[in-house]
Amino acid sequence: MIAAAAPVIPNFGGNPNSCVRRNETFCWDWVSSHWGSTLRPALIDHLELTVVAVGIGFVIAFALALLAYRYRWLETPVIGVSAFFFTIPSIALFQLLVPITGITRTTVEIALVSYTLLVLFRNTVTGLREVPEDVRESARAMGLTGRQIFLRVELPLATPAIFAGLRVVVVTVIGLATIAAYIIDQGLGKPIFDAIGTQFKTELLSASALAIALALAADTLLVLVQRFVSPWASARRAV
Amino acid sequence: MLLGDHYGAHSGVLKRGGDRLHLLLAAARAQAHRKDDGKRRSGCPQTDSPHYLNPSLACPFVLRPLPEGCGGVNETDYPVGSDPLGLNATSSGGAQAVRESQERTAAEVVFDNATKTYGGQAQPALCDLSLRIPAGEICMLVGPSGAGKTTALKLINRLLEPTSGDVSIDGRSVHSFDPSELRRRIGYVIQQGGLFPHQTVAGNIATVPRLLGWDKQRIEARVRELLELVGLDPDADAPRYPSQLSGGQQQRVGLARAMAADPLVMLMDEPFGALDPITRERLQSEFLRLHREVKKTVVFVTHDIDEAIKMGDRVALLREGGHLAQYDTPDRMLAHPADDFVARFVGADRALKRLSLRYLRDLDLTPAPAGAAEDPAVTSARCETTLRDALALMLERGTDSLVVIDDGGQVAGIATAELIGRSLEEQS
Repeated sequence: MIAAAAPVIPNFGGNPNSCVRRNETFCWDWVSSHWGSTLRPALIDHLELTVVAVGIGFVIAFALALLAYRYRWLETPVIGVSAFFFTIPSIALFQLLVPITGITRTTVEIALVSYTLLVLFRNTVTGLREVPEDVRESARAMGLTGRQIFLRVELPLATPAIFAGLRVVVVTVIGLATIAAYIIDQGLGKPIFDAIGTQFKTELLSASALAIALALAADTLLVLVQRFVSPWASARRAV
Repeated sequence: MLLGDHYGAHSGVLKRGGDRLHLLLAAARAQAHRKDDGKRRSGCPQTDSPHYLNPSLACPFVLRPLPEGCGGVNETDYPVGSDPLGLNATSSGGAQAVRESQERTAAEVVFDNATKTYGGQAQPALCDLSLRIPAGEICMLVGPSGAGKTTALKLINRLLEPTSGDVSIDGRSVHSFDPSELRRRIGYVIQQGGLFPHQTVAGNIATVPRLLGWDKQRIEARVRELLELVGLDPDADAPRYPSQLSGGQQQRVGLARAMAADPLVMLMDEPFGALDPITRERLQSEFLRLHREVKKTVVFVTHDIDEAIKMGDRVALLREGGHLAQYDTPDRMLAHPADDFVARFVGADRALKRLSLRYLRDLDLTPAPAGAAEDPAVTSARCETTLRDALALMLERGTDSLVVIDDGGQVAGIATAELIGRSLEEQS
């Protein structure tokens, strides 16, 4: 409305006659001139936020999954709690954590980690449980010890399911991490929030595009790693 | 009615005999318990009547002389340092132990009053099994579902522990071995192969050699050797994954994997059960050929009596409740079934089944007149034809004699239906 009454052109910088000044849909000039100062740092922050969240989430979920694999009764409470975290609206969770952990990166990471647990836990437990009984038995019958069975048979066979969980979680966290800018000035959320405030289309589009590209790249990377780690899973079936 | 009379007659005889036996057995048992107090006792309820009179009785006392060599099996009876599985061959036993374990290719397996009752169940799954499987023989464990065949098999490599009794290998109780060490010396093949889907054929076969710490070249050479032995292509098949193989090929890999570290004993749990009849037949024959070369002790579980007869040097027939009904060579079991259950299980065509164990070359053939082979009216058969097939051929052609051709294509003699019939009078 303000824009309609008085077309105030915010100072987006650059030549006044440029694409930026007219706030056209997309200006390459701005992207290249702000890559080093705005976009790249945001992308790197974003990547860090994601890697730390998924890393911590994976360690916690994996440990819980091992426990639940051994002690079956643990599975239901763990799923209950992690599903609870999963359902809390993310912005609300950020806000709820601020009084405890302050306006810090920790707050953001706690929230992000809590969204990874359910999927990573469930996929890991399911992957381990779905190891065929005859395979497990023949491993035992050949003289593998319990530890060897876990490391050489059960874990490798659960790997595709674990990677499937990782892929879902990485893409989810990359999306969610943009909201982190609601709390801290980090990640691709920062330019997106700025652009929403200033209505600057180029910044909004370029930051969003980077978030999408990051998600796709991470997903592709995980697929490639999984194929490398579990070549058997994609081997051609018998005719 | 007939059935009732039949069993009634039996029960009278057995009951009368049983009274005296019962006293003797009670005395023997009391003595046995005094003698080995530390030994776990059979959990089987004991009774003096045959179990089929009262199916609810869990486990009748079975009067059966212990096969030779298994009385009083006890670890301490064996010389200190005896190492039937060659477990110490590489660690401490020195050159002599290595040589001995390499020379020995098979071990004797003895069940000594082995009973297994699963938790929460009143009836034992395997009841008081005593049998001796000589080194290098194929022993078929056969019987209906729930007869304890697989249970018996798993007692050997300690996938299960007996509730009472014991199993020993070359005279040494399996309980004196570390379970994992024991299992690495015992080959194991199951129905679906149980192959590791995440490892290649070569990786699967190398499982136990790797556990035993063989070096790379030795493992590679062994994998090639085994792939050739089981009829697979060492170059094309080694890098493939189990999912890329047919069922029959997977089973061959399973067999190779079980033989990889040259075990003294092989356990096979319905290994060919899931295969189509043609593949099964072929694998059976190839396994028999293989066995003639490697001479392992094989304990083979099947529910198929024909497979048991074809494959077994001996057949142990188990009935529901895990009782041993009869333990004999296939021919003797067919000729003299111990009771009605055995007779029913082996089938009414047991005479024909015995014929399938015999070959034309085994007959004392009548000399053939000159030029018999050229006569278009006569029917001829090769000398490796089974008598069963020979008889079928006679029935088909409406004749009662065949000209037998030997391996060199020469006439070996004449086989008649009478000669075939007479062959059943002898035990093979």
